[in-house]
Amino acid sequence: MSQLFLGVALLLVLLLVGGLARVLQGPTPHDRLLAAQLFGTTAIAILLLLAESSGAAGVLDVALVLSLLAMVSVVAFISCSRGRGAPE
Amino acid sequence: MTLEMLFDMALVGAVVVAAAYAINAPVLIAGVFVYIVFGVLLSLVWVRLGAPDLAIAEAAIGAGITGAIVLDAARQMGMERRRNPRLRRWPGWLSWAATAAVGVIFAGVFLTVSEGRGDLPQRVQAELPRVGVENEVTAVLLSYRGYDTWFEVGVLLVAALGVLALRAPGESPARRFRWDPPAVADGAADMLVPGGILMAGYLLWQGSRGPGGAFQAGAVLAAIAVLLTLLGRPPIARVSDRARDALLVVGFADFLLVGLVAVTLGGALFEYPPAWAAPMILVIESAVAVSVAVTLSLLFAAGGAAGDASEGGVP
Repeated sequence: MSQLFLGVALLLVLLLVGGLARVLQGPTPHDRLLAAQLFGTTAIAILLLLAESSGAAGVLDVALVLSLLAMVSVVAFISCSRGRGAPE
Repeated sequence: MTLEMLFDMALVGAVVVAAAYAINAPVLIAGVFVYIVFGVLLSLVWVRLGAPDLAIAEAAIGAGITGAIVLDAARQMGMERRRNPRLRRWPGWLSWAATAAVGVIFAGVFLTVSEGRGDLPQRVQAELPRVGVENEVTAVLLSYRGYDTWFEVGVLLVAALGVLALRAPGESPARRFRWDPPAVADGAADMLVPGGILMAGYLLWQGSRGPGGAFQAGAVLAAIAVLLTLLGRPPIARVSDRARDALLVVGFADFLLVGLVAVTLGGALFEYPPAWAAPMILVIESAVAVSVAVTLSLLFAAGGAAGDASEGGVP
């Protein structure tokens, strides 16, 4: 079973690399933001799979911290694009 | 080839690709987002290396603080800006040569350390009962090399003093982001703040027996403060200057104080008596977590061009 989890995690890492293309291509900053957010969610999924397959302590805490703080960069981005001094 | 090796190779490949694009992205904002992704990947690497303490710190700092800092810097420089032409004055071979040199040094250090570490892990384990904590990382940081960690807390204090020194006397270091945040952001923040405080407390308490500790707890608290600062409610502006300075210093001072208490009890500096070690370490960690949180949130709240009339100063 742990091998299956690891295999799925490997697949998710490969999907991450594919997703980088959307971050780089855009074309709008919002596309890049959403792709980066998807990366955060994928990383949480990978961490959960790793936690199940290895049973190591603390891996779930990393996933918890990532999911708790995922919103910060979204708010930072919208405050950039809609707040004062924004280019648009 | 095992599946573990395949996974690790894919992960390392992803890290290298992300690092290359973070530097070479054609548009500034793309580089910023790839850099944020790079931080997330790095915390996966720490997990695979069996260092969950570092993974938690990297996740909190990367997702919560540096992400906001680089996005804010990108806003100040113009998000859609193309690559800085001044960077092209550096010949390409120079940066490759520098990278290769650093790589050789790291490889050398790695080979020396992995050969010469001898029975060090066993000795760390053997002494753990006398230290009062079950987490080796906390034991090393707070007990075996208390001096180094104390000075590291001092470095953070110096950074905070540097930020404060750039402001005119009486001028608030907290920028006000003046905009109308969407209600969903405000509402979500109201739910995240108690969750973040709970998480920080958990990491602090957990640090004595598992992955976690003062720095991780402080980083999570600081990320929550960054979120509130972005929404125009900087927590650091809610305390008086004097209280803020006290919070900045408390980690450094409390660390030294506990170290001196150990001296009066007959040990050397930071040589906590075994019976009292666990509570003493918790007292140090709690104070250090507060100072780390206030310092990191100050670094973000005070960022940006000094005297920027659109955001700086007291409203």
